[in-house]
Amino acid sequence: MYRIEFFKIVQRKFNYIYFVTVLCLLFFCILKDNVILKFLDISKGVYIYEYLLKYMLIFIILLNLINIILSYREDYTSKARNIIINSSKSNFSNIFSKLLINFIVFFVYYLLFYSFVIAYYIYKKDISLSDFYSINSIYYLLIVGSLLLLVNSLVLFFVSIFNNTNLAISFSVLFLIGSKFLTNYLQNTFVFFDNLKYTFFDVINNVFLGLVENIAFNYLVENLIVLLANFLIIFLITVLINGLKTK
Amino acid sequence: MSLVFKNFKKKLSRKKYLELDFILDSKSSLVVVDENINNLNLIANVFLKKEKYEGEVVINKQNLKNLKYYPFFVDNIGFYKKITVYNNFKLLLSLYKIKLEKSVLLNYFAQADINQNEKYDKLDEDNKIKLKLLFNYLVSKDFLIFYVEKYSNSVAVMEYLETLIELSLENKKTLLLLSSSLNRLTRNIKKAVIISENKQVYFDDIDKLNVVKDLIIIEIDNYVEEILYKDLIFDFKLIDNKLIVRKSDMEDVLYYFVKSGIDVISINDFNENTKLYLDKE
Repeated sequence: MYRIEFFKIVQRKFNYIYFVTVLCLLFFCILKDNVILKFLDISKGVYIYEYLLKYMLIFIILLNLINIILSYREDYTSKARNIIINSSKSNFSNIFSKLLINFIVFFVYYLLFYSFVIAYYIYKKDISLSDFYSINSIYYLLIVGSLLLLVNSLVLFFVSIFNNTNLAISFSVLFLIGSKFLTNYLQNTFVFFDNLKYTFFDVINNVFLGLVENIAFNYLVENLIVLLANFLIIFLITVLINGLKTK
Repeated sequence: MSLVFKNFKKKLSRKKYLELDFILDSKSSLVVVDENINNLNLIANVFLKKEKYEGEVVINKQNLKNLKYYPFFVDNIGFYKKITVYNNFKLLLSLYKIKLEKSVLLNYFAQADINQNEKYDKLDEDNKIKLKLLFNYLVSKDFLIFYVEKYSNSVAVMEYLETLIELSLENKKTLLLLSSSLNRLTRNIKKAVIISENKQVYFDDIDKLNVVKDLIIIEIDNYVEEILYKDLIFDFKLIDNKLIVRKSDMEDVLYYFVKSGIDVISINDFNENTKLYLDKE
């Protein structure tokens, strides 16, 4: 099951093209950093952690989202689904393998960019090695990882409801972009809706905004719990929906 | 694996029912023949659990309704388009815990005349069907169903299907074919169920059917029964003025009639009721 999902991602050519394009963009941003820094009037640490690495995260979330939807839909379009659901593998392992492999591949994808950026600035002596080895970078990557997990499970949830490639892609992008608008509006109307910040409606936005150079431990723990709890709930609902579909 | 259709009854339209009742023993083979393709589709759908019916369909002493069984008909399965043929098979067979050595699998591909490094998407339609048939053969360990009718317009597929059927007969798999006619593919099959106008008209060995197929009715006049019994040396039967003989003996019989001045009114095929000859007075 895991090998199938891995093969599916590897054979998609647009992943490589996307990788090269984003890398070119990154090169441009790094080489011209002095101009950009002067224009924005910010420090180098802020530029690296709040601008460069966040842009990379946006690009990778977008690619991850398309990949996981295509992985799910490919089973249906190729009719391989009938082979899979009648095999000895359970429905859970089918969904879980999609989630896990997509998560691992794109987290590694992100790590490549991350290490590239950090390595360049260590070489330029803008960041010291001790900064890199500090707990802070681990905090940063932990939050990015759990964010990717939540986004993956959310997209799987959407695609198993709609079961349509275009609809799932557009709806999940709309959700990721527009949910802030919705929650802001709801929170203004009624006090009870303040609790929305603990649900997947708002948590992705909040965590994304909170990705800064120095992350406090309390902030990390609080957000990790919220992210992982949301991830678990959505993932279980997704497994349930898919279980109902096969019957 | 054995298959039993016990008092199977399905309503087709008003006052029209499809009724079946037969047994396919373990390690045996059977062909269901019906000119009406709708009925064959219906039987295929029974195995896919898409039809409601009266009676029971029992596979290996378990009712099909309670059994997790899936027939791999060509229309219902597919492979990943951008992955090579060999990888597709390796990955999907591993889901069924079937481990074949590479040389064995490559041998199967060579038999089907398919390049294992080709991507599934780039194969032509015949080869795609062949692959699905091969997958069906590899996955269904002891009970195999082939819906023969679907591929009758391609010679290459029919030839490959023939080799697969021979292979499964050699390996003593329980084999069920759904076909609209008795043809080259069905020649080595042991038993046949023949459906005509929604009724099961025949269920027995296919060899016996061939004997019936071979008979001819000759209507004669101006003869003496006792002399006939004395003179004719081959098997025949006389009912009223109708003589039933084998096709192979027809030449001799007609020669005898001409010699002894017996009139022939008509010659009919036994099972098709078509008139081969009719004497216009």
